[in-house]
Amino acid sequence: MKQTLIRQSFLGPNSDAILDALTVSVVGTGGAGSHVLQQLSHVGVGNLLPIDPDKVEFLNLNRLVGATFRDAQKGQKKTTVSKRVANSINPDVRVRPHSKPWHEVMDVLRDADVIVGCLDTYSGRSQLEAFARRYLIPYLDVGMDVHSVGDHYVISGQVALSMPGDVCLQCMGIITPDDVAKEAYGAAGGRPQVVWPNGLLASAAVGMLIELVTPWFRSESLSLLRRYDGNRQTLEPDGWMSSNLRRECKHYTVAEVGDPHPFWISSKKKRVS
Amino acid sequence: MKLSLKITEALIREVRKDLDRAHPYAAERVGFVIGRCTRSRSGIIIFGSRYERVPDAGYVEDHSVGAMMNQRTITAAMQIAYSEKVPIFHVHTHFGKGKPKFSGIDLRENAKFVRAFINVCPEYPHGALVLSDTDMSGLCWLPGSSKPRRIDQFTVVGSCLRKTL
Amino acid sequence: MVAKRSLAVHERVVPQMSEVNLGALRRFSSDASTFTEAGLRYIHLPKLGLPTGCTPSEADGLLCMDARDGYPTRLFFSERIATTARTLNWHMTVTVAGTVWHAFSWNGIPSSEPVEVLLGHLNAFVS
Repeated sequence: MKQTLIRQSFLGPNSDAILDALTVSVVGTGGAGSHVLQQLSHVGVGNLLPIDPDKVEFLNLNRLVGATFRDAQKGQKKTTVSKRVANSINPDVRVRPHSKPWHEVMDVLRDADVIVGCLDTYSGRSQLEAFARRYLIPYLDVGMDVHSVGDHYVISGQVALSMPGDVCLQCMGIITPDDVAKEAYGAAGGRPQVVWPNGLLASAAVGMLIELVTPWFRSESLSLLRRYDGNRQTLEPDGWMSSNLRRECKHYTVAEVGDPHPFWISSKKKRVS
Repeated sequence: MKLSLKITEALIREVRKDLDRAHPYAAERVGFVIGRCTRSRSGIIIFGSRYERVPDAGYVEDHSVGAMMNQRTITAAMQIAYSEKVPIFHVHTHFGKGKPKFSGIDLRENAKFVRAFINVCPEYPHGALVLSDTDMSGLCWLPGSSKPRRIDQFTVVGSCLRKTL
Repeated sequence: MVAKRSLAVHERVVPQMSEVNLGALRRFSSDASTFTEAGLRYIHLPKLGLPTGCTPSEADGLLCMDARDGYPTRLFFSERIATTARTLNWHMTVTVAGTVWHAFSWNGIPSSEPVEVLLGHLNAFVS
């Protein structure tokens, strides 16, 4: 085992090789995504695909892990920061950054073993989940929100694992068609964001990913949903998910995978080199 | 160009459960994994979509081999390929642990029926899979290719994500 | 109340679209086919012929027969279409079936027979 990973040998024999062979894409490398990428680099994931079209701004510096004042001055690409952070931790990690919207690099994204979604729109997360389902890619969704209730603020969030064959984000009540519809008509804009809930949720996401790919711990059923209460500072498994072992998704069928026939045919004509 | 196959843990379990059943006269069972495909940056990914059993009456009584499909079985698989426009992968098991290998008879017979699938559905890859107790191997005839190539990577997606080369 | 707790599972069972319905659509797109994604029904309409005044004159279409994004039905295209009929607000780019699609704002076409839904959306290209 690599010297740098000796302390995590409890993850199982060959866990270093398993993690080194893994390809994880982090879509959205802002507040939560930057934490995720940093941790994935520490834990030894060998192939990272950070995807984000945005550049670092001063208003990101309260939470964007690895971003510097100089990055904001320059308008540095967020994915460039991702690569810099990852390789400063592990020079051997193979980072292929894409400073584009994820739908412009779907050919790359199809090769991911796991996708971690750190997007800030319901629509984006819903579409990314649909993409992951179609190509049998486990999808970890990280969501955090700060909203006002009366005279105070509430911080909440969750980490959800959408697994092919199991319940989806709609089944879990995390994203509903109403959410997406309201967003289509609502004003986009800066929502409150702070670093510590991002870190906590990102850590939970990485923990769930490690549980998925290494043999270190096998619970009765895979943990799919953890809910965060930022006011009580708790992160707990969702009660319904934990108790309901016979789960069936109402929205995705496992048979609906890969490209529908006409899309397979047309993809041959616009073959990516 | 990399050739990969991804399949859910539930589907593999369904395949194994069927192939483990005793047959009245065949020494082993076979079946078909019906697939779908996509192209990625690295190559082609084949997805296991569902499993088609071969009924008891779908075998020839031939004790010189483990299992021999009759013409009706092959025709039924060809019909799926033709009408649904999907890749078809023949599947059977070799007992034991580790990476399984196709036998000489497997290779000879694979080439025959896969050619039939290609004839009715040339736009898709078709091929054969063999499972051991712990792993799997596969051969794939890509569209336009007369010779098979090895499937480079298998990923089983379920309570544990497992990749093998 | 902290996190959203609406755990009611959507009860929608995705109905199959009959060959009869597709038969009517194939007058507009000979290779029309169906699939589902995220519990929504889609009809793929390759090389859909468009009304006079459109540039290009044909494009791949994707008809969503179920409510999404606040619209009861939706017609997406593989590319943005210009029309002499009116200025369209191409306000949305989405990914469905691993492919990018574009849509303009054109609301109020309820889900009914697919060919009626298609014609309702194509009216946007007719002055």
